[in-house]
Amino acid sequence: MIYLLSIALHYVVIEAQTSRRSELLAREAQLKALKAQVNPHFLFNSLNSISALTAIDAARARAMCIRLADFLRISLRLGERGSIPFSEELELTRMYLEVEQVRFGGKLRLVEDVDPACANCEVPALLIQPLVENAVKHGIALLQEGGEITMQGRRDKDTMRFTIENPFDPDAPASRSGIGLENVRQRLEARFGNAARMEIHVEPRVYRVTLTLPARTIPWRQS
Amino acid sequence: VTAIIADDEELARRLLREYLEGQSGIEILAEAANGFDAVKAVSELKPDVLFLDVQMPRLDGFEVLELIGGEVAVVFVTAFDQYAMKAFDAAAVDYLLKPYSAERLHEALARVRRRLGEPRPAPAELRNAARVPGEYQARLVVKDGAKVHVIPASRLDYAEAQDDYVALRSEGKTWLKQQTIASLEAALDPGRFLRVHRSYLVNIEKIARVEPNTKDTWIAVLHDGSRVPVSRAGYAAFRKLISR
Repeated sequence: MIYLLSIALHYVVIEAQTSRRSELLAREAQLKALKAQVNPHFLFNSLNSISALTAIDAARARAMCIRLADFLRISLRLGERGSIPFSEELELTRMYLEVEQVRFGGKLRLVEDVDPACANCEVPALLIQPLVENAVKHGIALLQEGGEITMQGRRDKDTMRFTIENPFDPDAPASRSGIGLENVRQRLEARFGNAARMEIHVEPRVYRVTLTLPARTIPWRQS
Repeated sequence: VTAIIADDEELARRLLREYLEGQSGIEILAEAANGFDAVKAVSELKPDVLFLDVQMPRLDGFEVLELIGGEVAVVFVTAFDQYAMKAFDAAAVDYLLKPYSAERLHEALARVRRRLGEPRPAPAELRNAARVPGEYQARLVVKDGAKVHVIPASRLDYAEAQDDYVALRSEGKTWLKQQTIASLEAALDPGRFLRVHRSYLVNIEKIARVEPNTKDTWIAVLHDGSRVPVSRAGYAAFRKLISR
């Protein structure tokens, strides 16, 4: 009887493991799909800015075209890679923010304070991109006077910490988001397990996301 | 045709202005960079057409539409919004997807001209058509003269149907809004707001107790002492909700 029970239990355990594995595979596929997605709002609004600039300042229109093309090309390429040095991720967000600065004019201001020692830390590709998009879309874009996005990077021997902070309008209409943040959390967990975490602090008018992850370096390679 | 441009992005406003100035018979009365200014400009200047961006600070395009819907022809201008498309078809005279051509704007103007003076759909219904399934309004907007009041849904005590209006009761004040109670009910989270009576919608968190009234009716007593009628069906729905 006990023997039979233990066999039964054995099969139950195997069954559970199989279903967990397929669940993981499904999640991975979903993450891949999310990574490949370019925010259509960003794309179409940028094209509209370029359209406006052609009559006002043709040279700026051309510069914005090139910036946008660089951003799209690099995000498509990074989407195919698993992990990248943090410096590459940061460079991509700079391109993104430069395009958004043309769109929002003086409303969007940037402060970057990143420890150079963060540069070769390994991060999943496009990890912080959704955070930057959120800071613009749900923060700066909905503030009449605009505001400052602050990105801070710190590194000690074993950990790297990245913080992004933006002001927001607490009275703004509810946003349609949450997917972006959940995506970041899942990808951190999939890559680093319990060793990494994401914290969100909401003050009355300031929204702050902090990522803490193991400072693993990958050999720098030409991309 | 007189027009107002409402868009928070300066470049987007300049583009629209450039296109409009290339058309004959169009006068731009004002530009607005946020939803409040758009509502104010429309109320004061009474244009024939409002070019309205959907995503703006302070009030979004749908809130603006709710507040000024009957007064002006609206052409939505937006980058991309799969849910909003449905509402555009129902509500707006036309919509322009960024980036758009001068010719496309010309077509939209032709539609505006054809439809000047036509009756327009009730604005409050439009937001329901545009809502993402499973997401509900976190706040309500009400116009009082040229002023706009924003009531967070969490601070709404109850709503009472009054002909074509709903009376919104919040923190001791009453606001009248042109909307049916059924459409208000559809816009709010059904887990937090309960239709306790044909004419009443109540914020469940505000209910202190429900007491029997006549044989088949009850009264919901709210924390502030308000008394709201509860029908037999409303009572059944209330019991079902609290037993979950």
